[in-house]
Amino acid sequence: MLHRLEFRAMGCEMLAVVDSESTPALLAKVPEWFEEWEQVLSRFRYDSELTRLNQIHERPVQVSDVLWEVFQAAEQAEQLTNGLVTPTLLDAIIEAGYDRPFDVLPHQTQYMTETIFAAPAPQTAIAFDKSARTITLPSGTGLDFGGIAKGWAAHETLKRLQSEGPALVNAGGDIAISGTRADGGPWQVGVANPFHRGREMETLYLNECGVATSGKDRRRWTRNGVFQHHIIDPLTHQPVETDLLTVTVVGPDVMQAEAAAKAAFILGSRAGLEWIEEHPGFAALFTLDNGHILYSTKLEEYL
Amino acid sequence: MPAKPNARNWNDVQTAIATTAIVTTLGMWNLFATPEKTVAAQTQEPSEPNPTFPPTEPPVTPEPTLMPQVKIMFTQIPTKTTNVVQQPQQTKKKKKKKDNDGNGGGGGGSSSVTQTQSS
Repeated sequence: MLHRLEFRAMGCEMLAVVDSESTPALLAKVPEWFEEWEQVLSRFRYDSELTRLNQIHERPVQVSDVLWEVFQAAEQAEQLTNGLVTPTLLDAIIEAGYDRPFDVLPHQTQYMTETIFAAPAPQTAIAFDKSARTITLPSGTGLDFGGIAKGWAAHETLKRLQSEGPALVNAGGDIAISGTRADGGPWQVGVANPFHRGREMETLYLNECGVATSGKDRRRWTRNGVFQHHIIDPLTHQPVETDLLTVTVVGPDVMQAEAAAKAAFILGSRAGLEWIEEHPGFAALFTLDNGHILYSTKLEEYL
Repeated sequence: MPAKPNARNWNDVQTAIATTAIVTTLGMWNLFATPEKTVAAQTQEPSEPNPTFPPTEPPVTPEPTLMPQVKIMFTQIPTKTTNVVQQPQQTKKKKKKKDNDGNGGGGGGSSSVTQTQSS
């Protein structure tokens, strides 16, 4: 029997599901966990731990366990993607107009001036001490964990819910799955059709894994008459321009899937699919701007 | 008075001269005029195109695909995005079904427990 809890956190719709005959006691605590993590990780809260960290440069700052774990997840994502996915693009995403929660972001954003930034510093340029759990930001560098934070939150929630039974956690499209369902069957996860809200264009049959989708179909806005979105190319410091609309990736866990989806999106359909094929742990479904859908070889296992 | 014996012959000479001139002219024309046209055509070929005419792009040769594993579901580029919805759902019938795996039913009307979408 599926026990579902839907709530809103981190600017997204969240869902936690436990497949169990008995009522899972921990399920009701999930919104509290997300609220706690958002208070640490949100760049939109002036009093969050991340906001305070971003205000301190050139000296070590001791951080909480949660921020440290997400920082490490971000470091692993950067290593996995050779720097394509990095949390050091805070200035660029703000310059693109994403300077407040998306719910209150005006669709038409006017800017009077153009600001040109230097190339972002990779996370490897950030000094940190594992034993002391301190982070030292270089001058002019801020952190924005974005999807990595949501992926981590889904992953962490799943770990805690697993004691109640087979579980699935969906954090705004980033999905963590513990294993097979109680009856031994797979979880059915739909891939949202970016052209028609609410409809599915594919159904995936999944066991222990993570799923994530990156795209420019939802979090986008207009700035000076030009469409902007939230996926920043670390080379150009601008919203990335490729032939892709969305990328859905199935991976070993939700954090890796999220990083892989974003990296593939930045690379575009051709190089992105090559990248996916070179990493055997991932499977992907690409939706192109022109409506074509591309499948990686491994995705056949989940259809 | 007898007719001049050479009157006819003079006319014949004039005719012969005129014929020779015409033949010579035509012969020279055929001999020199055609090569001149060819030369002219050859000399015009490498000349610069009219600057008001848009420069021609080099022929586009399709690059060999580097994605041997890619499966393209759509064979036609939809002219409207609404076509995109119908086509994948039609092709879905071709894919293997796992509905009989005994998943015990999902939530709500859709068989999926949830959806992944761009966040």
